[in-house]
Amino acid sequence: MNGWKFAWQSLWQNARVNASIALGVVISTAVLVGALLVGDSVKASLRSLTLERLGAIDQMLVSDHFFASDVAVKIEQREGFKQYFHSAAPVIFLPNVAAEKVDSNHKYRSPGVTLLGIDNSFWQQTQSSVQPTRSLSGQQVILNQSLAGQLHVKQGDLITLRLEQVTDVAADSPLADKQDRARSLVRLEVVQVLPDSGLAKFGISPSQQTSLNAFVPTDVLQDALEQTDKINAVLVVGNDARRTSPDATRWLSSNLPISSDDATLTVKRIDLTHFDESQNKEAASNSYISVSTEKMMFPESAQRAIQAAFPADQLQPVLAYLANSIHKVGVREAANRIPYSIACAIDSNQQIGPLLDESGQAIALAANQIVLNSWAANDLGVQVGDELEIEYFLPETAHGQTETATTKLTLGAIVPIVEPETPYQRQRPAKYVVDRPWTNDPDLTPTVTGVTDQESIDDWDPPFPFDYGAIRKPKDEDYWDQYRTTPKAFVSLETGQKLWGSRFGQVTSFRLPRTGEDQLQNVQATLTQVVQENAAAFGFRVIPVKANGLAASSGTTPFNGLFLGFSMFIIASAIMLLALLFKLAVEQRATETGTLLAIGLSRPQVTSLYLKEGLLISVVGAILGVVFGVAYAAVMIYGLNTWWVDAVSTSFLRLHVTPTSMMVGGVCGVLVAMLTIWFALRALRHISVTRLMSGQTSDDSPTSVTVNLRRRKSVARFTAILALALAATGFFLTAEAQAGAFFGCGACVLTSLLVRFGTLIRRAAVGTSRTVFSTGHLVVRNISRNPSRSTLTVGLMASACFLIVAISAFRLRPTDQGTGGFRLVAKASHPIFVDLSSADVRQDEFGSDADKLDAVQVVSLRYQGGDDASCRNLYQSSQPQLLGVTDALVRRYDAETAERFQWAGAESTEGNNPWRLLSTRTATPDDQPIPVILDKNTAMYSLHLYGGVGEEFEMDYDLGQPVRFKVVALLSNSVLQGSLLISEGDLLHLFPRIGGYRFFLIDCPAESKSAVTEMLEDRFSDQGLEATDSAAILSDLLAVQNTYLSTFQSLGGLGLLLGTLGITAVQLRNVWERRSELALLRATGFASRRIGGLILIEHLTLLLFGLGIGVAAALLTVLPHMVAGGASVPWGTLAIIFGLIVLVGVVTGQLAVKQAVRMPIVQQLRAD
Amino acid sequence: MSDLVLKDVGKSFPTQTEPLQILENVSLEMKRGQNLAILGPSGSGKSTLLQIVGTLDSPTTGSIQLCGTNPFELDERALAAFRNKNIGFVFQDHHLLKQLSAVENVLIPRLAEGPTNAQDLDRAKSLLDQVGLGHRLDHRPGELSGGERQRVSIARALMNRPSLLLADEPTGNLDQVNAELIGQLLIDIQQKAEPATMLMVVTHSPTLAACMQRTYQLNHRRLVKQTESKQ
Repeated sequence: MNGWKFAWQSLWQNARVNASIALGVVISTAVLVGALLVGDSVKASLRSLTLERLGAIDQMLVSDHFFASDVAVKIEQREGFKQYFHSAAPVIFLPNVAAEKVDSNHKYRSPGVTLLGIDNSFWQQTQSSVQPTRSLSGQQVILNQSLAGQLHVKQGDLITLRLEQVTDVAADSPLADKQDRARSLVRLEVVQVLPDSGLAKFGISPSQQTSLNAFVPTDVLQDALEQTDKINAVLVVGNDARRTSPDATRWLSSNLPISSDDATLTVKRIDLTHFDESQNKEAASNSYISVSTEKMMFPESAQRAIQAAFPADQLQPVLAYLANSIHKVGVREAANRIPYSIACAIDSNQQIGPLLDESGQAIALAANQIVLNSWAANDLGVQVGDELEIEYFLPETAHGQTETATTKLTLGAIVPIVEPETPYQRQRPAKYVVDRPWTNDPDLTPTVTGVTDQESIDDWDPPFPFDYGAIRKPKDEDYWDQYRTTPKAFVSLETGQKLWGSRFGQVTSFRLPRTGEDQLQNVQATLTQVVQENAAAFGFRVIPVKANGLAASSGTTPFNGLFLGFSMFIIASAIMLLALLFKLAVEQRATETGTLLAIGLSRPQVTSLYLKEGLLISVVGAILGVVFGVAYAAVMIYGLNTWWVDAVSTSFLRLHVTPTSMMVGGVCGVLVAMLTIWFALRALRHISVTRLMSGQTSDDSPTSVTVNLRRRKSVARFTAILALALAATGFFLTAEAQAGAFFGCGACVLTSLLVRFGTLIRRAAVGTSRTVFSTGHLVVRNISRNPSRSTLTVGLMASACFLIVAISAFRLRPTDQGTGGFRLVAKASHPIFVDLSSADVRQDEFGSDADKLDAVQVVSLRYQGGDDASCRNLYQSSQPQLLGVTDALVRRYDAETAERFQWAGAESTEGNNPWRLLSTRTATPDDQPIPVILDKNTAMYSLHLYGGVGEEFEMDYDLGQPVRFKVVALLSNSVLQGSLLISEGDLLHLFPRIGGYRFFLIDCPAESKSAVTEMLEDRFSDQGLEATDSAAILSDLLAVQNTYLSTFQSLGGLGLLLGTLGITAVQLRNVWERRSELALLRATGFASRRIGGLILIEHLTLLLFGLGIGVAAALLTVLPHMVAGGASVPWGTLAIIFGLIVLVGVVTGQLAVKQAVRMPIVQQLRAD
Repeated sequence: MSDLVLKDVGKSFPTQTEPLQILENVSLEMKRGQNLAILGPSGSGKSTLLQIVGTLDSPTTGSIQLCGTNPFELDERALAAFRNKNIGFVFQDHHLLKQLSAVENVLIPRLAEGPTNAQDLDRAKSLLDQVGLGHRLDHRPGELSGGERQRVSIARALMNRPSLLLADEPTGNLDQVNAELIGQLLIDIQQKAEPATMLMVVTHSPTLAACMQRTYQLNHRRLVKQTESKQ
C-alpha cells in the first residue's frame, strides 16, 4: 500500500461524489479550453480570410499614376524572380468606384466598390480558387456576390460604374480640372456573379468585411481612362500560397524594372532652332536637355532624388507659373494689362541662360526683381526700374475655389525675344530665321491640358476661372500664334518658389546643358536608376499584401482573453462548485480523516493523500474538459456568427482547434482544480482530531462565533461607508469614471449586504424562542444551520447576479454628444471640390431646391484612405485612415451653444474647445509630433495606445519615414471612431496630392434628414456620395461594446445557472446530512409533502436572497445612469435569465425534495 | 374496549432466497393509562415492532387498531396527521434538531399543524419544566448533556398529548444514573401528567422494564407476556 494506491482505492470507493467533483473540473477546463480556442479561431479565421482573398498573390506594386503594362512582364523577366515568385499580373486597381444599377424604377447604388481591370489570365495566374465560367469581353463585367446583392443585380442586368478621372496634375492645383473628373462605364452587362470566395473577394484592406468587387477587361478601363496600354498595379504571385517572406519584398523593391517614363518623367532634347539660310537647313541656336513630369510639378521627394543624382551646377530647376495679369502698378484698364502670361522662376547660368546680358553673362535677379521679355516690356511701355504688379492664382485651392494674389516687383531687366518668320500652325512649330535667344523658349512651360495644346486662345478650355474679356485681340492672339507658351516674365527661383511653390512641388522642370550626342540616353539611364532606387518618391509602392494581411490577422482584440473574461462566471461557478463538492466530500469523510490522524498520520500526509486523489480526479476531468472545451468553443463561434454577430460585423469565423490551446487549457484546468482542492483542505487544518472523528468539520465554538460576528459587523460598516463615499464621488465624475465609481459603490453595497446576511443568519442561529414558531422560522433555522455554506451559496448567486445587472450600466446608447450634433455623416468615393456650406455653391448645384438646405450646415473634411481603426474591424490596423480637420469644424465648437462631442480627456485649451489643440504645433511635422485627436476606443482597442492624452506614437504610411503623432485629446464613444483626426494643414503636409473633400459632417433638422440625404446622394451620385444617419453609425459602433456586454451577460447567466446547480448540490448534501432530522419530522407527523415544501422553500430562499441582494446592489450601481439616461438595463433579457434560473432552481430543488421524502424513515432514524 | 389492539401482526423482509420473518402472530392490547415494556435480545425485532406500532413501518400480516382506527388504511397525509395527533416517540438517539433550541424542539410536533401560539409555548415550557429543564429552554442540543437531550425528546414526544408514547431504548445511550432517572421520568409523566397516554417501552434494561405494569419478551418472533403487576 502506498499513497497512490490509497488514493486510487478511495477514488473508486467514493466514485459517486468524485464523479461530481470531476464534473466541476470538466466544466472549468472546458471553459478555459473553449475561451482559448475562440481566440485561436478568430486569429485563424482572419488569417484564412487573408489567404483566401489574396489567393497566391504575395506582393502588389501600386502607383499613384499609370505606367506601362509591360512592367509586369519585365518583373517576371528579372533574374532571380522565380526564386521568390511564380508570376506577375498587370491590373488596373481602382479602390473607390461607385456603382449603380441601371433600372428605371429603383436607384440601387453602391459606393466604395473596388474595380479591377483584368485580362483573362488573371484568374489562372493568381491561382484563384474561384474561376469564372465566362471570359470577359467588351462592355462586360463580373461582380462578386456581395456587390451584386447590394445592387440587386443578377446575370444579364446592366450596371454603370463611375470612376474618378486619372489626372497626373494634383487635383487641388488651380491648373487641374475639377469639374469633369468622373468617368463612367455605362451599361456594362453583368455576365456572371461569382460567389464570395477566393479572389472574387480580393482585397488588400485589413478588414473582415467582404470587398465589393467588380471585374472588367483591362482595355475597356484603359479606354475609359484614356490610358492606353497602361496599368496602375501589378499583382505578384508567390510560389507558396500560404507563405511569404520579407526577402521576397526586399527583392522586389530593389528589382523594380520601372523606367523614367513609368515615373511620368519626360526627358527630351530641346533645340531652339532657326532656319540657317546659308546652310539651307534648320540649325540649333541653343540646345539643352529638359526633364519634366506629367504631374506638372515634381513632388519634393522626387525633386530631391533627382537633384542628388546630378551635379548641382549642371541641373537648373525651373518653376513656370501662370500670371493672370502683368501690369504697371495701379493700372486697371484691360488694354494695359497683359493677361495670362507664363512667368518663369529660374536662376540663370552662363551655359543655358536663359537670362543673359549683352556680354553673355547670367543675369542674377534680386528677390524683388522681375525681368520681362522685350515683347511684354514694349506692350506695357515699361522701363528698367519701373514697378510692376503681378496677379496670379494662389497655388493651392480649397473647395475648388481659386484665389487671386498680387505681388509687386521691380523691373530688373528686359531681355530680347525674336519674332518667328512664320508662326505656329496647328502642330507645326514656329519657324525662325535668326538665332533664338534662350528666352525664346516655349518649352520652359509644362504642358497644361486644354491650354498649351490648343491652336488659339479661343480654343482654350482652361481648368481655372478664365476671363475671355481680358484677352486683347489681336495682340494676345498674335503672341500665342508666334510664341505659344514662351514666358513673358522671369523671376528668381527663390522668389518664384515663394510665390508659387506649394505642397505639390517647387519645380516644374529641370534643365541640363548639352554635353554630347549620347547625353539624352545617359540622362534617361540616370533617371531610370534614380526612379528605381527611389520608387516611393515617384509614387510607386511595393505592398507586401500577404505579409501585411497575415500580420494584421493577429487581430486587435485578444479574443482568448476576452472570452476568458466573458466566461469568468462559468469558470468561477465551476470552481466554486468544485470547491463545494470537494468540501462536501471531505466533510463526508471527516471521520476517515480524523481516524487517519488518530492513527498517526500527519496532517500534511493526510492532505497529500487527498491531493493525490484530487489529482487523479482532476486529470480525468481535464481530459473530458478538453473534449467539451472544443464543443464550447464551437458554440461560442456559432454565437459570434449569429447572436453576437454585431461584435465581429460579419459571419466569417470558423472553428480552429489547436493542440497548444487544448494542452494549455487542460493543464490550467488541472492546476485550478488542484488549487481549489488544496484550499478546501486547508479549511480542515484547525479542526481537532476528535471533532473530525465525530464527523464535524467546523469550529463553531461560542468564542469563534462571537469574534466572527464582531468582525463581520466591522466589515459591513466599513463597506457601507465606502459605498456612500463612492456614490458621493460618483456624482462629481463623468462617463466611465462615474460608471466605475458607482460600480464600486454597488460592489461595496453587495459586500455589505452579504456580510449583513451572514450576520443575520448567524444571529438567527443563536436566536431565542418566540411566542410564534412557524415553518418560516424553521426554514430560517435550517438555513442558519450551516451559515458559511448558506452565505457562500447566496454570495455566489448575488455576485453573479450583481455583475450581470450592473454591467448594463456600461451599455451605450447613441447620444448627441457622440455625434457632435451632426445628424448625418457622408462619405464620397471621389473627392468633391465644391464647398457645400456655400450658399452660392448650393444655388449652382441644387438650383431652386437650394433653399431646402437653408437650415443645413455641412462641414467638409479631407480624407486619406487607410485602415478602419474602429472596434468593428478585427484586424490590427497599421495605417489608420486620416481626417483633416478644417477650421470650419474647429470654429463650430467655439460657440458655447454648439452641441459638443464628449471628451474622454484633453490637454488644457483656451475656450474649452479641444479641436483647437490640433493647430498648436509650432514646428514642422518633421521636428515635432503631429497633434492628433482620436476616439478613446480607437486608441485603446485598435491601436493599443494606453497612455491617454500626451502619448506619442508612430505610424508608417510608406512616406519614407514613420509619422510621429501626439495625442492631444480623446473623444468618447463618438461617430468619428476609426480615424485619426489631425489638422487639415498637417494632413496636406503629409499627403500633398490629396485633393477635394470626401468626408462630410452634416447638421440638419431631424425632420429633414431624409430629404437632405436624398438631395445630396442624387446630386453627387457620380462621386459616389453616401449619407448615413450618424446615430445609426454610432449605434453600429456602440453595438460592438453592447454585444460584448450581452455576451458577458449571457455567459454570466450560464455561470449563474451553473451556480444554481451548485446550490442544488449543496442542498442535496444538506438533505443527506439532515436525513435523521427529516425522518424525525416525518415521525412526528410531518407529511412528505410538507417536508418537501420545507426543503424547496429553503432552497428557493437562498436562491432568491442571492438574486435579490445581487439585483439590489446592482440597481444602486445603475440608478444614476438610468436617471441620466445613460444606462439601459435589458430588463427583458435579465427577466428571462433570472426566470430561467428560478425555474432551474425549482426543478433541481425537486431533486433534493425527492431525496428527502424518498429516504425510509426507519432506516434514517437508525442510521444516525 | 382496548385503545391499542395488535392482532396477529407479522413482519417479514424479502431476501434473495426466502423472506426473512421478523415478527409472527404478535397480538397485544392496551388501554389508556397503561404502560408496558418489551424486552428481548438484539435483533429480536423489538424496534421493528415499535415502529410498526408507531406507524413508521407497516406490518406484513395482521392488523393494528389505535383508538379505533386502523392507521394503515389511511393515505400518507392522513397517516402523518394521525401519527402527529396520536403517537409520540422517544428514540434511543434523541434526534433533536441541533439548529433549534430546546423549547423549539419541543414545539416541533405542533408545527406540523401550523404556526404555534402562546398556549403551545406555555405547554412546551411546562413540559420542559416537568422534565427538569425549565431553566434551559433556549439551549441548543449541543449545549445539553445526553440525559438532558433525552429529556427534551420526551417533552417533544408529549407535546401533542399523544394517545400512545413509544420509547425505543430511551436509556440505551445513558449511564446508569441517567438511565434510571429517564426511566422514572417516563413513568412519572405518563402516570401523573399524562394519565390518558399509553406508554410502550422497548428496552434491554430489566430495571426499566421492572418499573412497567406489564413486561413482554420478544423471543423467536413471538411476543410472550412475562409479568404483569397488580397495579
